[in-house]
Amino acid sequence: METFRFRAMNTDVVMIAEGEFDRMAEGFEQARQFIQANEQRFSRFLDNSELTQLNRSAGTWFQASADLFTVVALAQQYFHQTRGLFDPSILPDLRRVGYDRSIDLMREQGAAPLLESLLANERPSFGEVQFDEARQMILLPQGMALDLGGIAKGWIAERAAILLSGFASACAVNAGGDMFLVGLPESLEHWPVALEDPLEAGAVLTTLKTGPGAVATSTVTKRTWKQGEISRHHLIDPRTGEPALTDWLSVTVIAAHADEAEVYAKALLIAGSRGAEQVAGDRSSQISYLAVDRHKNIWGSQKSLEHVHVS
Amino acid sequence: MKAFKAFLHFWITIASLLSFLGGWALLAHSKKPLQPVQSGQTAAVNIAPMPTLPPIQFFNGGAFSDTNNFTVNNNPAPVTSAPFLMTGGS
Repeated sequence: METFRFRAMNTDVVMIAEGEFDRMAEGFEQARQFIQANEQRFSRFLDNSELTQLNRSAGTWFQASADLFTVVALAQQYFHQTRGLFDPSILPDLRRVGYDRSIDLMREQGAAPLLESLLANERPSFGEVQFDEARQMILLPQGMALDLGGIAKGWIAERAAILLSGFASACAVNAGGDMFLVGLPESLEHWPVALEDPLEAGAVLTTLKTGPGAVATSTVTKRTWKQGEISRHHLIDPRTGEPALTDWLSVTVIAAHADEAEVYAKALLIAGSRGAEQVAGDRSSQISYLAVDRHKNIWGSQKSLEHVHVS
Repeated sequence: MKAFKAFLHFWITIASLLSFLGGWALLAHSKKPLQPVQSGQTAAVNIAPMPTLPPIQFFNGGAFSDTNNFTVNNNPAPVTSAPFLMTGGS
């Protein structure tokens, strides 16, 4: 079992693989190049990224790459599935509350002051984005700008893991807690995945047992900053345009695909305990979720019991 | 005829005596019945201690029947040589 670490997408990326050493080394390198190339495509912080160009084109049709077209179309599908709780068009709100640079730069330089912007209900809905599948073109309504950070990270992690699996008998790609697992390591019946304590970085609350597939966690305790005297976090509630007020600190989702796990982790965290069942809705038989509250109590769907050691 | 009657009396006497002694010996070696507890006496009974069942916690913040709160094992047995993967958001 070999491990390869590097930093990309403003997070730590860990790749683990089992197999023949030389083949794995080649797989690690190809997966790293894939991740870094896609970071260039999907980053909202890079002036020349394809996503930045799409955001600039709002109001006119944009010729997209196959990957960008796929992820934006997936995002709209999840927007409808989560009844709008997952909404990548909250970028103007993120900027308004100070998150206008990468989190690494914000930690160095501090957050921007509060900006004026249109409120969430004054802007066009993400459901109004149009797609021309035959020509692979996207039309964002005037005034719309997208942040594909979370969904793109999950999508990239899954693709990178599938790429790496061509060089290994079993492998995992973990991009800042969004991970995709292929196969099972020899001698293990499941992948052990540590669930991090949202109140104590690096501390383990419990260990999940997961098979091949995806795991993603969303939390309100990590990407945090002060804007003047106000504490902010990066998880915007699309209904208010403000950082979400939720009774949960983190939500972890186990699903078949990394983009779905990432999207539902975010939507369930925004919904909190009162709205989670409604958000999980039809997907509750396909996804498992575990939520951690302020007292470190762990809440979970019935299906999540398959993945935890309950005493 | 007289001799036959005397033999018959002797035989019945011996057979009765042997049956009585055999029955006595059998009952003497059988298990004794339980003695009833007399009023005012206490009977000590040893019962293995029962484990305390964890309380069933229902979510009380809304109509949310599918979500459960449970205590998980915080110290799972370490898996030697297992890969270390952690999820906690970023």
